[in-house]
Amino acid sequence: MSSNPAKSLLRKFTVRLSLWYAMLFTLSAGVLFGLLYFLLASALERKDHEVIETRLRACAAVYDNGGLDALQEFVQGSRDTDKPRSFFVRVAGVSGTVLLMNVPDDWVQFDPEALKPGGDMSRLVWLRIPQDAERDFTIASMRLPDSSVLEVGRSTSNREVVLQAFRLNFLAVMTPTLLLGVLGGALFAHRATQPVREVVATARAIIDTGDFSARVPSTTTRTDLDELARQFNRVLDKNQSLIQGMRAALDNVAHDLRTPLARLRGTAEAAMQETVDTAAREALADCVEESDQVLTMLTALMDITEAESGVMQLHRALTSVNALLASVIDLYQVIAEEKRISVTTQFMTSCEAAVDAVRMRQVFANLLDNALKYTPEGGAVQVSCSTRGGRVAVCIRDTGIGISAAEQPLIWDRMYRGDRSRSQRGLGLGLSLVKAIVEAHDGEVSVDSESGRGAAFTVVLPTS
Amino acid sequence: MRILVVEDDSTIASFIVNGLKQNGFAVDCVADGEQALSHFHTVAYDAAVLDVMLPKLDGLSVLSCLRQEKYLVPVLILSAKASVEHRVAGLQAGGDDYLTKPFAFSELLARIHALIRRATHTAEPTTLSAGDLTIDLLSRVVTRSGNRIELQSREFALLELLLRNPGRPITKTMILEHIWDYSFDPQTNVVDVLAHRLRAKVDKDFPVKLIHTIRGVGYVLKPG
Repeated sequence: MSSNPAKSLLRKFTVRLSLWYAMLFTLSAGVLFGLLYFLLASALERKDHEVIETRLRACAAVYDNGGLDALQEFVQGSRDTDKPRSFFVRVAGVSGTVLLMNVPDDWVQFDPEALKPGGDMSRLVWLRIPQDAERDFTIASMRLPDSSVLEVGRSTSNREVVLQAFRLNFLAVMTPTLLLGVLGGALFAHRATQPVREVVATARAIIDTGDFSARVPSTTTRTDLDELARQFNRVLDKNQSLIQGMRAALDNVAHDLRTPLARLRGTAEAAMQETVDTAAREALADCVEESDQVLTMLTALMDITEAESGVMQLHRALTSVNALLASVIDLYQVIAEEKRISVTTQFMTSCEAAVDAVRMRQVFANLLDNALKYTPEGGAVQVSCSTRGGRVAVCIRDTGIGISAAEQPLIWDRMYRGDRSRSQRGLGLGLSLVKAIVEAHDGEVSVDSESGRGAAFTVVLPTS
Repeated sequence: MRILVVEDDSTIASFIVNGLKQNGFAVDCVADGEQALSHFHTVAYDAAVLDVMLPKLDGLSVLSCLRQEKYLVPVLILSAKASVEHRVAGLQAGGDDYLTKPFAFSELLARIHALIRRATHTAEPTTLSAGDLTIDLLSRVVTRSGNRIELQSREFALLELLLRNPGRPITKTMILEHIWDYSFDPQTNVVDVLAHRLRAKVDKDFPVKLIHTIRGVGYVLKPG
C-alpha cells in the first residue's frame, strides 16, 4: 500500500521488535566495554601513580638524609643500572631555580612553566603531560621540608598502548556484536510474534473464505501470547455459534412463512382450475399473483437481511466479470430490443474478481433492469468493465430520467420508491439488495446522476 | 403412471394429490418418512414427490436409503428451504429435481412429466406439432398452415418448450431456467416480453390462437 517500502517495512511489528532488540543488545555491549575500559584505565593509572610515588618518597628520603649531592648520586646510580625506563627527577629551589635535574632518554621537551610550583603543595600534586597520541608522562611533585620542590616523573606511554589496543579490539568486536544483535533480534521477534501471526492468518482466512470453522493452531505452552490465541479461538467459537443461530433463525422464519404461502397459493390455484365463474377465477388469479408478490418480497428481504448481517453464504470463486455481464445483457436483450434501446459494452480484457457468480448476476441484473426501465424508447445504455488498482469497476450508464441529488441518498433504503418510479413495476428493494450483496463482497456501489440527464451506477469489487 | 407423494402438510398434500389425479396419475400419499420407505418397498412407483421436513425420518434420509438400495425411482424434492446449499444437498442426496415452496402446481406437474420422460428414455422426436403448427427441431424451421415463420433463437426455444408440454402450463420460472439458465427470479418482465413477441409471430395472423396466458401461472400451448 505505502509508496515508500522502507517506511512500510518499519511499520511491521516484527521488524521493529528485532531492531529494538538489536539496539538494546548493542548498547549493553557498548556499556559493558565502556565500564571495562574505565576500570582498566584507572587500574593502570593507579599502578603508575604507585610506582612514581614510591620513587618520590625514596628520593625525598635520600634528600632528607644527604641533601642534594646524595640525591644526585642516587639518581645517577639508578640511571646506570640500565633500567628500561628511568625517572625524571628535578629539585627546584624556593625561588624557582633548578637545583638538580635528571632527564631520562625518552623524556621530551616541555614547558618548564607548567611545573611552576604553586598552590597547596602540602600533599602530592599530580600532573599529566600528553605529548602526542603515543607518548605521555606523569609527574608528581611535593614540597620538601626545606621548602624546595621535588618532582619525580615517568613516561606512561605504556598505559596508552594497552588502552589503544583495547579500543581497537572494541571496534573489531562491535561489528559482529551488532550483526549478532540483528540476527538474534530477528529470530527472537519471529518466535515471539508467532502466535500473533497465527491469529492474523486465521482471521484473514475466515474473512477471505467465509469459513468460520478455521481456528488458531493450539500450542502446549502457556505464555501470554498463547493465551491470546486461545482467547481468540474462544471468541471465534462464540461467533460461530451466534452466526449459526442467526442463520437457523432466518431459515426457520423463511420456512415458516413459505409453508402457509404454499398452502395459500396451491389452494387458490387448484380452485382456479375448477371454478367456471369468471369473476371468481379473476379473484383467485389475483390471490395467486399477490402470493407470488409476497414471496418475491420475502425472498428479497431475506436476502438483504442475510447479506447485511454477514450470514449470507457466498460461494466466491475467481469469475470473469465480463462473462457475467454478457449473460445478464443476453437476458435483457429482448427488453432492450422491444424498447429500441441500444446496449453497448466496453470491456477491458480479462476483468476477473472473486465473487459469488449467482449473487453478482443478481446485482448486475437489478442494475440493468433499472437502467432499461427508466430509459425512454430509443435511448442508450452503456455497460463498461475495467480494472484499476486491484479492483474491478463495473459501470452501467443510461440516458434515462436520472435521479435528483436530493433523492440519491434515499434510493438505497428498503422500500423507498421515488415519485417517478411509482408508475413502474417493482418493490423498491432492488437497489437495497444490490448494495447489500456488493458490500457483503467488500465492494462499493455508487451513483452519479442528475435529474433528467441519465444515471450511472458503478460497482467496485476487489479482485481477490 | 403411479406417483407417491410424501408430504406432512395436509393442505399442500391434498392439492398436489388432487391435481395429479386430475391429470391422470394414480397417486398414493403418506405423511412421514418411515411410511414412505415401506411404500417404496412394496409398490413400484414411476415417480415421487418428497418433502424434506418430515416426521420420523426426514426426506433426505429417505432418499439416501433408497439410493443405497439402488432403487432408482425419479424423485422430485419439495422443500421450503430455498438456498443454494439446500438445493445442492438435495441433489447430492440423490434427488432428480428440486422445487421450493411455494410453487405453482403447473410447475410441479411439468417437472414430474420431465422426470418420467427422462427415466423412461422416451425417444426424442425430431418434429413437434400442435394443430397446424409444426416445428422441425433439426432444421429449426417453423411453419403454420404451410407458411414459414421466422423466429429468433430465444423465441424458438420458448416455442419448443411449450410444444414439448402441450396443454400443460409452463411457469415463468421454468422458462427462465430453460431458456436463460437462470436459477433465481431476476424480477424482470423478460419472459412476458418474449412471449408477447412469440405470439405476435405465431398467433397474430391466424384466427385460432395457440399460445394462451394463464394468470398467476404462466403460458400454455393448446389449440382452441
